[in-house]
Amino acid sequence: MTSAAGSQIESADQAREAAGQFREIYASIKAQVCAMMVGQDEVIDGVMTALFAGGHVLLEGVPGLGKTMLVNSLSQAVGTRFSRIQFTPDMMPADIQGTTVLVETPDGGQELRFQEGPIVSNLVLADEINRATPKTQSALLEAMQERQVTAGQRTIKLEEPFCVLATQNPVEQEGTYPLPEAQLDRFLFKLVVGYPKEQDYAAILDRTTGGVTPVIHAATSGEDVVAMREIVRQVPVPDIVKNYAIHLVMATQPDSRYAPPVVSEYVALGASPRGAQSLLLAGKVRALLNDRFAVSCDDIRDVALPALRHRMLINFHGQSDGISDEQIVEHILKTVDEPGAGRS
Amino acid sequence: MTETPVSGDSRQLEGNLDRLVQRARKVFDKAYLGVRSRQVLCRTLAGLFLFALPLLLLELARYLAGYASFGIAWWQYGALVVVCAGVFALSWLVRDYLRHSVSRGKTLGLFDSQLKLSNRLATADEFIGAVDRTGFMQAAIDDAVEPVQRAMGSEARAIDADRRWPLSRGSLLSVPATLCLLLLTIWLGAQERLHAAGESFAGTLDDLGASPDLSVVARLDDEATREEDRRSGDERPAEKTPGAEPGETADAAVPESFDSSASQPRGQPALLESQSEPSAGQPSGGLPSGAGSRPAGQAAGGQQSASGRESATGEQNPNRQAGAERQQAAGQQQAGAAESSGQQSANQSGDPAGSDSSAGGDQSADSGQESVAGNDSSAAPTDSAQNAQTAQQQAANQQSAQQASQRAGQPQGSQSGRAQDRGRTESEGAGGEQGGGEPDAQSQAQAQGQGGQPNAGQQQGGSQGEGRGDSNDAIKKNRGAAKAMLAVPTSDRLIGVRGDGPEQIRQEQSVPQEQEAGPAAASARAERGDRIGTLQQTEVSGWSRALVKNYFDRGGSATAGAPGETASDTPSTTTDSSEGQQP
Repeated sequence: MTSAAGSQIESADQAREAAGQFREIYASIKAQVCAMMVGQDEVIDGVMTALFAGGHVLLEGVPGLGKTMLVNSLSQAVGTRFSRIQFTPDMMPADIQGTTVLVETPDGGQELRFQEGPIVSNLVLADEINRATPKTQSALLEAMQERQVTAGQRTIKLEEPFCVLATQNPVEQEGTYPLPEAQLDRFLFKLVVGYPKEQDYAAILDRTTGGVTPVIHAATSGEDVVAMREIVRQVPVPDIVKNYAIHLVMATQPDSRYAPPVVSEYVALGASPRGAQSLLLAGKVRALLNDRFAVSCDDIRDVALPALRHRMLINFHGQSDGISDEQIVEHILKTVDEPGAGRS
Repeated sequence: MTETPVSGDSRQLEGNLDRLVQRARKVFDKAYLGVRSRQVLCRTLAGLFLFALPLLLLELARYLAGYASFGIAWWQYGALVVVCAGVFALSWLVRDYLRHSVSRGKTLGLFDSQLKLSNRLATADEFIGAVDRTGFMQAAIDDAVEPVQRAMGSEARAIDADRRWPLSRGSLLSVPATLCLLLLTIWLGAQERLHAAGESFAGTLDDLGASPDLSVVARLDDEATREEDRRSGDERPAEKTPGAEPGETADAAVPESFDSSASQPRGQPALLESQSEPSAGQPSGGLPSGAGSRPAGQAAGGQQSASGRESATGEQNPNRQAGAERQQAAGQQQAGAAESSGQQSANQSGDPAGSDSSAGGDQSADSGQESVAGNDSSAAPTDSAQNAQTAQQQAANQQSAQQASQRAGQPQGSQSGRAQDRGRTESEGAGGEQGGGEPDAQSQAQAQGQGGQPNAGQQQGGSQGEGRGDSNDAIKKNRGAAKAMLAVPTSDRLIGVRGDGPEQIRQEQSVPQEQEAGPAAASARAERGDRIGTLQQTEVSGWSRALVKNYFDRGGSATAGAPGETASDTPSTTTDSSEGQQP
């Protein structure tokens, strides 16, 4: 299906063809997902952008908004394996990675066999990750970073495309273990799933309570998704856009020369270089989707909020004043000028 | 990656991009000039007074040097300041403009942002110059052809620059400050010069009554030395200089004990008169003497006067201080010689001359202390040259007298006595002028000048003793302890009972002792005849009463009735047994 998969694109025609393929696959996958999901376009675009950018997503929303259904639909549309892990406080790392179990052989004997855990999959839904203990969380996060699982003397390489979609319930705080900032930094995006619009409620009810259940067909395969990831990586970034992304990330760091006074006052910890990586990777996906062959400042601006909102730590002063991450990012987008913005 | 050959379309695209860069650069330069010029003007305004300050300093220098003013009009002063400030601001602006530069990406970004081209122009411009051009880069360049054509047909709008004037508080205050400086300059130029150009500055200070400069002092030193040599060669006894009458000093507040007119040597009246007469209208500042010999008592006064001169003129004069120290040493030598001569004369001759000499020695010390007091109290100008001259004369006279007495074999007392007389007369004159109202200083000076004289101790005790005693022993004994204690009589010991001190526990073994015990008779208890009072009976419930009744009924029927008869058969004719057994 893809002609440019796995190979370097050297001509403009190849680039146009690869970009066209990308847009086509993206549209087909989205169409399948939207057959099940009603509304939540931003969340769907964000999840798919993270999938093609090779990152992981942290979904935050109250229960019953379709987070699990979204991931399930996406996995069916992509044609990859899907696993769901419901985290509980008593879960152990072996419950995620896998463990060695004693099984009976057909001849009546017994042997130890390694049983892979639910993380050995393509799309992993880690439900309520903040309910697990830090030890269990670290096992999952190690797999996210290393793309492999080590259990005893066995190392299992996780099959690409590997994408973890973790969910957090913002309401329940009792008995939870919030993810530390260092581990939050590993997620490419943090998407907030909100309530559906009024006009979407009817469709939701029809699809979920009616007699007809939508069927999702696989629009592509895992190999195509991997190829699309390679195409995304080849999209160039001009220096002015790169500098703009750097300025945005530095603007989140207090006492930086690009940081506005609001950041210096309310932010205790700013984004790391991972934030700039997230901006560029997501910007490349957006550039291809917008029929461009290079990343522009508009693409960076579109992905700035989901890429930077979870990488800042608001200090106590900001929390007492009710300052949120979104307000900080939006203020930074207004303050940091684009190259040639027309302001002297 | 392979190098992509530059096609004609690429060259044309590159040329168009260059033109767009030039057009956008003009817009940026114009905006930059507008913003920067406002900043430079505001900063120049804040420092405007710095352009007026050199004019004021120049005018002040010309005024002090005695040169005439520049002779330019008031508006010319202002124009000069404005022109200088303008030239400075213009040069600053030109320098910043030459240093200012805008990158190509930023200039093309102006068209990108205004025409909403999503950075296509800047991207294409960067990728055109790339060495290793990928497929996506080439596609991006091709994608920018149409937007470039669109940008060529449009004009870049002006940048929304900051049009505020960054005026600070300093820049607003600088204008009135500049006006004040200009007015001061103009006023200074209109003032009369203190002296003509070329006159020595020392002459100006002399007119003001200030102390003379080094050249004058050196001149006086030379003259004094010459006079000394002349007198030593003549071997004439010191004579009272004519015209030395008390109260003839020009200024009644002369702190030194020497009368300027009395100490004026022969042959130099003009110089000293000019020095002693303060010029009309000039303030008579308290300028103490720095030269001239003084007795030992004047040592402190000499130091004070040296320091006073430093404070008056604002600069140290080591030469003058060295000269003062020399004079002080000569004065101390003179005082010591006077004391010794006075004592010797008193012991040897017992004549009034000797006593006078001792008194004169006292008086010479007095004169020194009076001069100290005068330095402290007076504010009149002192003629240091006159004092120096007088001190040197005294030293010279004393020295010559000693030498003459040594050669002639005469007692020193007479010679020194005459010298003391002269000093006493002069000091009397000075003391009369001052009023001599400081006995404590004099007594202290006497003690310092005369050292171990018996009077000194008494007078010290008189001034410091405060009634403790008349001798040093008395001071040693009590050391003023009585004065330090409160005047409350307290006993040195409290009346009480001596305590036993801390308790001591001593354990002693007690030996048991036998004692006879009396007989213990037990008595029988008789019946009680008295009433024992009311017994409280607990309330008996019904079932317990019935229980007891049934018990006794069964027992009663068993003893009185026939066999086989139960209690239920026979009616109970008897009363309750409990009733019968009532006490």
